[in-house]
Amino acid sequence: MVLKKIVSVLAILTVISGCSLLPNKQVEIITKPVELEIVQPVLPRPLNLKEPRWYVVSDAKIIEACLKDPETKKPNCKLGREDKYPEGYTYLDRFIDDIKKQHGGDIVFVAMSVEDYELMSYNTQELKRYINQLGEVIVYYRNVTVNDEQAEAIGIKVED
Amino acid sequence: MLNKILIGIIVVMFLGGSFLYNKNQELVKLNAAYEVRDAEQKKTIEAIQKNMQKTTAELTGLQTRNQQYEEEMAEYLDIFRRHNLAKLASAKPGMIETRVNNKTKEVFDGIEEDSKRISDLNSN
Repeated sequence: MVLKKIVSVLAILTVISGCSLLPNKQVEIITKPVELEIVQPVLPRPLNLKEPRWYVVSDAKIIEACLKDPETKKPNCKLGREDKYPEGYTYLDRFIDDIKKQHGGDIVFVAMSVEDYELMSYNTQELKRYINQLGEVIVYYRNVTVNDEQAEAIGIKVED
Repeated sequence: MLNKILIGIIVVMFLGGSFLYNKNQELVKLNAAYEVRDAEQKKTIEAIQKNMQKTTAELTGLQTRNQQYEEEMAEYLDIFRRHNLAKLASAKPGMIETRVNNKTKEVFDGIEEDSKRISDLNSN
């Protein structure tokens, strides 16, 4: 009789506890974001520009450079002036002579007015600005798609 | 008679307990799934916020630098507004010729340097 009671109590306890005494497996949660690796394209090679030679020509007479002091090696106008050009020789004369020398006696050149030179300068500055701003866009996209150190932006040089 | 009733109760309770245990296991799994989803969402939000901060900072920097390039250009071109180049060139062609050639070299060197920095970005 006593044994029956003990068995009954144990059975009831087991049922009431809902098997909570049995161990449960713990679920380990690991969240790992998958990062997309965007392959950076090969960037174009840098520019290699050649400088043209500008001639500024007018009918102003050429003023000869001052002679250099042999001791100080510095120009001293008190010593007189060089005598490279004939009297009344102008910048236009010199230019024509230079062109003749370059082209075997022929006078041939591409001319540009001062206003057009200003336009060319404007266009060059526009191109420079465009290249720089486009470069900054490349830097921007690189920085937001690459998880490494910040890329150095293009330096800005502003003259005083 | 009493024993039969007791056994009956035990059997019913066992079946009930078994059902509740299974239900509990189901809820534990469901809870784990919700925890995973919650953690994922938190991480996603965190990543989006981090990306947004980075993008905002980069965009601000981009706008500032673009503004500086505009100013730099305006500054260069202001030279033509401040000076009558035609008059100066007519009076002192030698001096202007030197300056024009020097400035051309300087501007071209600057453009070359800028393009070099862009080209070298991947090698940094």
